[in-house]
Amino acid sequence: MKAARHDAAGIKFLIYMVKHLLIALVLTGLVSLPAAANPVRRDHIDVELIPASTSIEPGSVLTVALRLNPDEHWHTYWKNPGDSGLATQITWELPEGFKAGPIQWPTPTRIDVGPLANYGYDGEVLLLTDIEVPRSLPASVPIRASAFWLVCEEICIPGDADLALTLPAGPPAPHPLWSDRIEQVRAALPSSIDGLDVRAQLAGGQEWILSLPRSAMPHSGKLEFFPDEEGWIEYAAPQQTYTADGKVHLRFAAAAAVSQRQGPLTGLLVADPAFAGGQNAAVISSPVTVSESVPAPPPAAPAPAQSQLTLIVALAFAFVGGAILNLMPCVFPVVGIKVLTFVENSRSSAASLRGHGLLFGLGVLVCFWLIAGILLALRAGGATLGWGFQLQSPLVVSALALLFFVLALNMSGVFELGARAQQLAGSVRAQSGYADAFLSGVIATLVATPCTAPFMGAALGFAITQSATVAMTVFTALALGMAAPYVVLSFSPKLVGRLPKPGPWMETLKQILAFPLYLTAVWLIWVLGRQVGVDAIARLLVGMTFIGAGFWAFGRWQSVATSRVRAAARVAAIVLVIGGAVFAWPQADATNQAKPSSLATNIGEWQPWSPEAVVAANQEGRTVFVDFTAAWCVTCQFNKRVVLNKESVQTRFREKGVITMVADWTNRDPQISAALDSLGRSGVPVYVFYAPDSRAPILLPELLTESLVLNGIDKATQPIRTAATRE
Amino acid sequence: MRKLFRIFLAPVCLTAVLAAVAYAAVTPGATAPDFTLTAIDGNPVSLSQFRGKYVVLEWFNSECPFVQKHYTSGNMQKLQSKYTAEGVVWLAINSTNPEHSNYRDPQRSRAIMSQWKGSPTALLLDPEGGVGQAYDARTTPHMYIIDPQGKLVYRGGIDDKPSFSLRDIPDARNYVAVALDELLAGQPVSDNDTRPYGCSIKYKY
Repeated sequence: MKAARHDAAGIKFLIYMVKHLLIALVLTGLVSLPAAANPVRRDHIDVELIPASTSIEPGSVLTVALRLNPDEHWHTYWKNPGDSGLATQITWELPEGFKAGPIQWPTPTRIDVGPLANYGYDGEVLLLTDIEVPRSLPASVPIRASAFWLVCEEICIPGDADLALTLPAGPPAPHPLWSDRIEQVRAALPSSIDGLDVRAQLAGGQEWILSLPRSAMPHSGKLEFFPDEEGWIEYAAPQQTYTADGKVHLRFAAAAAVSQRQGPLTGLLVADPAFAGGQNAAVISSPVTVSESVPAPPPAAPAPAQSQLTLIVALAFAFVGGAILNLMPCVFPVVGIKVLTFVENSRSSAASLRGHGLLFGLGVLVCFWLIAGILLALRAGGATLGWGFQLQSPLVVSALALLFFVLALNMSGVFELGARAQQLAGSVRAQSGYADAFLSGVIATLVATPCTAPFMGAALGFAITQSATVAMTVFTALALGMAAPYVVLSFSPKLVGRLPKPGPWMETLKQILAFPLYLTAVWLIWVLGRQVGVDAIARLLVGMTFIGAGFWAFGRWQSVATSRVRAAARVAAIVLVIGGAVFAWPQADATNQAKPSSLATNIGEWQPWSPEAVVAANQEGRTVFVDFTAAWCVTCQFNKRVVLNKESVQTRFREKGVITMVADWTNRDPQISAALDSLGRSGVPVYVFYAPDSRAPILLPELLTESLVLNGIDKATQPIRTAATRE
Repeated sequence: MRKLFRIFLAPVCLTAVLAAVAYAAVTPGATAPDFTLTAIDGNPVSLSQFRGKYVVLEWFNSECPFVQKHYTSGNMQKLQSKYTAEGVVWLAINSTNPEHSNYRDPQRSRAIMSQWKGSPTALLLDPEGGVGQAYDARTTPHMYIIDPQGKLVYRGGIDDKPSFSLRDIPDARNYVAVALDELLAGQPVSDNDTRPYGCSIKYKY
């Protein structure tokens, strides 16, 4: 406290010094600041007239800013002040021939005051006015303005001031302190955006629904509308952004007497994050279409919680999440293989070891970029997708199952690939190729997608709502995090030296490691079954058998037989493998019959999720817990078995009257994607409580523990301090 | 904790329900919601007891500069005495919540009104804000006129010059005076739904 005061005194002294220095400069003629009754201090506000240029050029346009700087927590008003309040007014008193334009209002913010809402500026604002300057000027020009304002916090205080500037005629000289700031304010002024097609629909005389193409707002976010005039909308009613039919919609309540209004709906449409062109606020004037009926409330979760992270935090989360990913069950089989490679290569040169580490890292990076690139491209095209989207495709799941099966066969020793076969002497393998290192990076990434590590969910959710550059940066951090342990290991010969010596034990270990891979394949087959059913599984298994036979034939006569026999075996192998792959290929129509694959188990009472069901339950005063999950999400399955279906957890859900719902994202589901978006996430698992009061949804971490969930239940069902107790 | 919650919740819910029920009823032409409030002299006053007369509702907060504009100028008092003399009932309503610094208890309200020489039929206190929200009243002042049949015939601002400057009063078109003159002459109100201006009502929340 004492130190803070000391600081404040120091700052005051500094300001004092700067002021006197400036005065000295002015006196010595180095800076010619205008003389003025300016600035003035009134109750709770500083007011000042600031010219963009400290001299006036004949025949030009001079911008003058009225700077309103109220005390902390006090605000002034926009041109439409909302439910109460009063717009700031400026009356200019200018010499002959000068002409002042209207106030150029910056984008306001909504200020909620209990059941009322105001539009204005919390804190400092610069209101710009352009003044046309005539061709002939006297040597010095007096500019006077009477300003009126209302400044409010809990109470309102009106104020006025007569402000004056005297500027010399001369070539433009940017204001030494303020010209940059004035240009910033001007650049951020709302303007109409070319090609932004906003439709306004008045539904049943009660609700406004504004619609714009998804391409105008590629990153899902929040819209807000500020009407120019009174009588069009209920200022204090919530405004809800949602996506439907490839369009972004904003819905809010119309004013009671809206039917008496005529002409287009005019005002500002503000986007966060920005519109496609980079602007945050658009001036719109939309012709109104009237529809009789009021459509059902939009399917979106209440109170979006996105973009709470800053880029730095998101990058840190992504990196840590990527590193933790290596410990998740999905990546585990691959980790085993990777460690073996290191052991194999531990006797090779440090340079080659580094090369392997880097190439593995590159493989991870490229694969992440590829998946993220496709994901972002598809999203920009309007698809509602999230992390793990590739596993929502039965084709990708089948292909991965086959890949793992073949890898496992390889590790079981059914066949060997390429040059290695010749060197196979039952002992230590020669160095595996660089291509291998790269490919294992790619594979590690592919298998990692079903797992969401702690920290990853928030980072990815952030990434997906940002611009493509930011998103790719976050994905890069994730990839670097995942590759980091191997790269570090490969760069540290000491660490490698600690690994056990290579030897025949490796062949044994390799064959043992084949079994987790078989299990991975089994799991992928189960996912496919969830997605398209038993028939698809049968086809895949038959295909697998053929492929297995093909590789067996390849391996059986690989090194022993005569060249003719070997050639025949290879032809047979190729035919079998291709035939198997074709047979296993999921049928086009099968992918379409994607049905909600109920992941609800018979333990506990899990209802299928829908936004309407959440709203309905909330309206009955019940708290809702939603498990956003997918069959291909290993972390989800782990959490469900180990924590959510535990008797103690289920009992607590029942005791507290919490309705539990499952949102199954195994197949593509735009509604679920939209709900995840609104929670600031882009992948599963997500565990969230929706309380019946107005609180934001309560998110749990990606990795659950029993106590975490129990505490979450208690927190979500405990009433918040009511608004009435607020100050 | 739970009990506390209920105690607070009850009036909040009641207010919300009131507001919801009345929501459709606040536009001109609709039936004005009835209410009973306690006047600063301690007596209960109901809207329904004035059936058969024109009733003006004036949302009031003595600490609001916009209200002060119309009282220090004598503008509001003039309207009150002129129209109550012609048989119009004038109810000033203060919906400021008791925790707000602008709240004035009945005793101080009496002192302020007599100092200003105001002459409404009654000054009513609405500390819960239920009546204010039922009428969708947002500002002080915010004016309403109810006809002898209990229908809302005017709602909106006191005049068309949204400012706090006394100089604007003589030039302003006083919507309430115009509407009352038209009504008393048996004509429909020409501007029956205008923009109110002033301080936000200090509702409980």
